[in-house]
Parts: sequence; C-alpha cells; structure tokens
Amino acid sequence: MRRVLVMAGALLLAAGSAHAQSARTPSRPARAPSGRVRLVVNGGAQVAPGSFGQQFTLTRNVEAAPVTTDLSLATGGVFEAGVRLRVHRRLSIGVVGFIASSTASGTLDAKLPHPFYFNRPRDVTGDLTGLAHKERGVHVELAVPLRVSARDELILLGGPSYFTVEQALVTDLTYADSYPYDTATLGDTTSTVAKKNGAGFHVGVELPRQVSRSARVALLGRYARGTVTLSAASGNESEVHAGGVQVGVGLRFAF
Amino acid sequence: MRARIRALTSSIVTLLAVASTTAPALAQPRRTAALAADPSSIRAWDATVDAMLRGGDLEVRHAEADTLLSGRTHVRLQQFHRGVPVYGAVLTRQTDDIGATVSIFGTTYSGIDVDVRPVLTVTDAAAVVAARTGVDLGPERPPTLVVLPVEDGFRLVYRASVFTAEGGTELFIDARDGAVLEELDAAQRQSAVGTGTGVLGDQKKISVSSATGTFTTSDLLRPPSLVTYDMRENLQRTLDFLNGRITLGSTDRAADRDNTWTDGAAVDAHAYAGYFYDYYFKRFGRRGIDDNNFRMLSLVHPVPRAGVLSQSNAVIGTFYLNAFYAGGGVMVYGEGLPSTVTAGGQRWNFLSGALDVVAHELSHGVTDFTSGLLYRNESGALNESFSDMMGTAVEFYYQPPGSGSMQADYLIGEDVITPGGIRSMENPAAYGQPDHYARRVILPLSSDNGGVHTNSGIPNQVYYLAIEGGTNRTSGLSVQGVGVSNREQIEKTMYRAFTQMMPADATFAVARAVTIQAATNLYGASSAATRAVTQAWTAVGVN
Repeated sequence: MRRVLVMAGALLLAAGSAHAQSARTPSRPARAPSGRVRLVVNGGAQVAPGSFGQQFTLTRNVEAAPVTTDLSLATGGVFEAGVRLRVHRRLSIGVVGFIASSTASGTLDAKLPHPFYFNRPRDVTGDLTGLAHKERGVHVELAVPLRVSARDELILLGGPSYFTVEQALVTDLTYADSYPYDTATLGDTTSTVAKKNGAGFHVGVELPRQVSRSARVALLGRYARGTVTLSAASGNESEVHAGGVQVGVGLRFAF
Repeated sequence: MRARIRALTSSIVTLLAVASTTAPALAQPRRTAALAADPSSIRAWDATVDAMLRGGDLEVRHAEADTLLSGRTHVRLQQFHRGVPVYGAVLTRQTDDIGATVSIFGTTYSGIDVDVRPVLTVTDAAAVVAARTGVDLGPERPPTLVVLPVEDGFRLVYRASVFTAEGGTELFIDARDGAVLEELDAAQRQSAVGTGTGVLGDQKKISVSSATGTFTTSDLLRPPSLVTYDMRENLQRTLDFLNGRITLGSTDRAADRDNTWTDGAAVDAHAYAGYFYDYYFKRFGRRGIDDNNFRMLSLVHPVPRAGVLSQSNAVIGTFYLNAFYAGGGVMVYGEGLPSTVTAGGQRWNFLSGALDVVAHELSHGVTDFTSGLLYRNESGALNESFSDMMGTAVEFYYQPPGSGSMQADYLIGEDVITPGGIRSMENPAAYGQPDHYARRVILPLSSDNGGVHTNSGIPNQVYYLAIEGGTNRTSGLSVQGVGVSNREQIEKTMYRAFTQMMPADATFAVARAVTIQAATNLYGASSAATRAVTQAWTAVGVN
C-alpha cells in the first residue's frame, strides 16, 4: 500500500508541475473538453511479469513426494471499461474495470518415492501447458492530461488497483512405472483453480486523439502489478503476480 | 530301515568336458573316468549326448540364455530310463552363439536294467509314507517314480517329501515291495539362523494388497506371487500345508488394519523375499526362483514362541531355531526364542529378521530349479554354500558394510542370532566348520546329510577369499581377491557356475572347475576374477 501511495503522490506532483508549466507559458487555450465524464473502453494485450511456481508435497508410497513447478504466463488479452470524471482541469479520477486472461505453462519436477525402499526417489519431469489464468478487478485512476497538440493529449495515469486472480494450480499427478520401479515417467496432472483478491497499483500513459467532438481514440500503455498468494490446498500455496505490461487501444466517449 | 547312496563306480560316468575360446580346458575329473578336456573329447561327448537325446535317454529339463554372457545358452539335461528320471543324473551343456559346445558337466549312468513297471501304486507308496511318518500326503505332493542308484545297482523307487513336527524327510520307497531304501532330511534348513526385524526396530516398506479395509501380505507389485502367511502358531496347520493336505488362502495371510505393520517376523519375511527377488533381477537378470516368476510363499509363526519350553527338541530344532526351504517356493521361518531363553549361549530372534537368512533359504529354491545339487555330502555342502554366498551377496547389496546390526558382513544370521550368528565365511573354523579340504568331515548321511552344514565352510571360504583376499588359516596360502569394489564379479561368477553349469552331484573338485570356467567365460582367463577364484580353491586345498 505504501508503494501505491507513493505512486499516487508522484502522479499528483506531476500534475501540479504540468499545471505550473501551463501557467508560466500561456498559449492558445486547449480545446475545451467535450464533457466532464468520459467512458473508457480499452482492449489490448498483457505481458505478464516474471514467472511463478509451486512447491508442495504429495504422499506416495508412504513417503513424501516433493513437487515443484516453474510456470510462466503467456501473453494474453485484456479488456477494460470504465468511466473518468474530470474533477479539475488537469485531473480526472476514473474507475476502470478490467478482465484479462492467459494461460500458464512451464515444467514440473517431482521426486517420487520408490515403492519398495525408503530414500530412493525417482526423478520425474514433464511439461505443463494450458493452466488457465484470469484476472478481474478495477484500476482507480488518477489521470493527468497534458496537452500535446490541438488534437492530442498525453495523459499520465496511476493509482491503486484491486485484483481478483484465478489461477489453475497443480494439485496432483499420475505417473507410470513398472518393475523394478527404479524409474518413472510423468502421466497426467490434476489442477484446481485457486482464487484470491489482492491490491496493487498501476501506472500508465495514454495518448488520446480527438476524432470527433465526443470521441477519441487512444493508445494506451500501462504497467499494473499486484501479488496474491493462491492456495490450491493446504501446503500448496503459490505467490502469483497479477497484471503486467499492457498495451492496447481504446475509445473515449465524452458526455 | 535306512540305506546309503553309494554311486557305483563301475556304472557311473562322470563327465567333465570343457572347451572355450577364451581359455583352455581347466576342468579336472571328479572321478576316474571320462575326462574330456580336449575338443575332440567334447565332440565325442556331444555325439553321445545327442544320441542319448535322440534315444530318449536324455531330455531337456531346462534351457535358458546366459544372462551374464551374451550368446551363451545353458541346457540342463535329465537322464531317463524308459521314461523314468534317474536320480542325480543330470548334465549341463553350455553352448556359444553358434551352437558349439563350450562345456559339459555332470553325470550319467549306464547299464541300467530296472523294470520301470512298479508293483506299488502311488496310493500304495503314500500309504507307506503314512505308516512310516504318520503323514497323509495330499494331492499336491504325491510320491513320484525315480530310478535310484544304490550300491548293488539300481532300484525303481517312489520319492516323497514329507514334513512332520520333527522336520522334513525325503523318502525313497522301493516300488516293488515298499521297503524304504533311503531317508534323507528333505528340509534344506538353515540350522542356525534367525530373528526378526520389528525387534530390530528398523522401518521398511512392504508391498501388500488391500481389500475391504484390510491389508494382507500379498505383493502385487513384483512379478511373482509373493505371499507371506501367518500360521498363527498352528503347527498342525503348517504341517498340513507342507504336506499338501490343505491350501492356504487369503485369510491365512498376515493382515493389518491400518497398513502400519508391527509384526516384525511377517514384515521381514515379506520385505526380504522382495529384496531377494530384486537382487537376483538387478544383478543377474533372473526372474525369481525358477527364472519364470515362480511363487514365493513365506510362512511365519509356525509355533507359539512362548510355548517353546514344552516342545520336543525336534520341534524346537525345526520350527524355533531354524529356517528352511520346503520346496515348491515355500519358506518356513522359525519363531526364535523368548528373550529370557538362550540356546548355545545365544539369543534367537524371529529368523525372518535376518536378510542373509531369507536370501539363503530362497537361494535353495534357485538351486532346486537349476543345478539341483543333491542335498548330501559334498554336493549338499555346495548347495548350502551357494545359499550362504547369495545370502551374503544380498546383504552387501542392501546394507552398508560393517559389524553392527543390519550391516553387511561375512557372518550368517548374525542379526537374529546374537552374538555372532551361526557361520563365518571369513573364518569357518571359528564356528566349527572346516576351512580347508584336509579338514573336511566325513559323516554318514544320517548326520546332517553327510555334513552339508559343516563342509560348506570350505566353499564359503573360497567365496570370502575370492572377494576380500587374504590367507587361508590352514594352508597359509594367500589369495589376491578382486576387492570389495569388484565383488559383483565373484557374485556373477558363482551365480553363473552354480545355476547354469553345476551338475547335481558336483564335488568340490567339480565346483572348482565349474567356477573357474564361469569366471573365465565372464572375465577372461587372465582376469582378476579368474585368478582370485583359482587361488581361493587352491588355498582351501581343492585342486
């Protein structure tokens, strides 16, 4: 939360600075906004930050079988819709809901105990694909518009974000082996969707262009970040980062 | 009436023929006749064997590929006389990848003139068994016809194995008049081994089966049927099973409700039988006792331990202070003694608790299905020794070397018979066994089948010296062993020699030739293994 407040403060400072610069160099007044309320619709792609993994223990052959996964989220789609309210000439506040989806893939490593002997685990590895990942939530935006030209603006965005993360996590596995059971190969994995809410932040920049009196198109770049600890089962927790680098396009409708 | 088997020198042909591309013939004749060490002699014996095969006097009893030497095949041939097997008349022929004979060992008999039409029926023979032993043989173990060589020729006899509270007995009943010609101890017993694991406190896994909330000792993971029965201290039921009068079912298995087993005797019998199977598979590529996943049935708790003081000495010697292979893949593990009772100054625990004991008994099963080493005199001592070798080999495979509990050493049964176990391969004399051929004991068959548990000290010493090296205490001759890191070479040499090349009536001299041949085939004539085996036999006075 401290990081969120710092970021919000920085944005406010940026807004103030922009306002001061504007006051020092009066020029052609910016085109009046079309209205105080704007609907925001964005679509784009989200590149997930980093990777995550699992470390949990199953019981096989009356012995602990440690399992680790190393997963990365693929680039997925993101869709946002919300509303911004101009509260000051250089400051808007918005609430944008978002939904993003992706899949996680990576590798699984396990040490499977021997059926006949203690402390003689068999190493098995395998690939994991298609573990569903979904994010929903809202970005609370503080938006600071900077006039670039008559039709273009540069809007700095930032603020807290609230995520609901759903991630399919591995909870069990099957394997194949045969006498003398000194080796094993990974069969299937079982996963369950874990869900958790968390808070984070986002910062971004938006380049809207006026295309009509009430509509704009915009290029959007945003970095959002949140972290949640998902639990697939007792002892099977995983820290997953939400958000990522988002790029997209959007429409703005003024009222 | 007891009789002694005396092979007729005039009618017996002992064959010791060896040929090899890697080594010259090394075999020595066990007796006077038929040393065929040169290729021409081998060709002659090949022709003889082939003629006997064509004439039906020899039949292939077992053929298998050599799992240790690619391309080699071993065929075990049983001599028949007009369709009836001749007791102890077995040849082993080793061929190479093009079918050329490399070696032949064994014995055949000539001049057999026995009428193979029995006067007695199988039922009559069973009645003789019942009259003599009080045991009614069941349908699983009927008497079978064999031709038995005796002092003055041959007899058509029924051979029957019987188990009583006093132990196992093998009877040879004259098929004409019902006279008992031979009576041998049929239980290949481990006369001084024993004890259990739960008592030792170690934790091990056992492979069991479960049904309706109960776990039972039936291993469903290993290829053979591997089952451990809890006889629940019922000696009569044990005897009934051993004599084929009853069969055992799932309710006879050791059982547990929560799969956390506390019956150490059952746990170890079951787990160690699995270890035995695994060792033979991983070391030699062998699939169990018969190399075809024959069943392995372990019997524990045949008698009540607390009731030992009210038992006869025979029962104590058989079912308390003993473990034995009863044939048919069945092992019986003695109950040991209460903690307050000692025997010979030693405490005896459940005999299934010693890995070397279990592997020893099961290796008797391997011998049964391979060399069939006759359980008497020198061949019987070799039979015992091979089981000691394999028992020790299994111990070293699974346990760290050392002198403590559950550590691998050259003592037999030391984990359950404390202190010290019952035999030492390193120093046989310390346990009253000879360590040199000059010190071998000559005993009648009525005494430990001719001293099979005594004279086994001699080949046991060979095994030890071939691995560890050292000096034989009697001869003072030194042996350069292969070293502990190469013990596998000696294990494979002995396995190959004893399971694929050894004839049933082998003497120590034959065993020397066979084991040297096995080492030569596996590792070469100038190899450390061949040198070690040769030196070891020489050191114990077997040439």
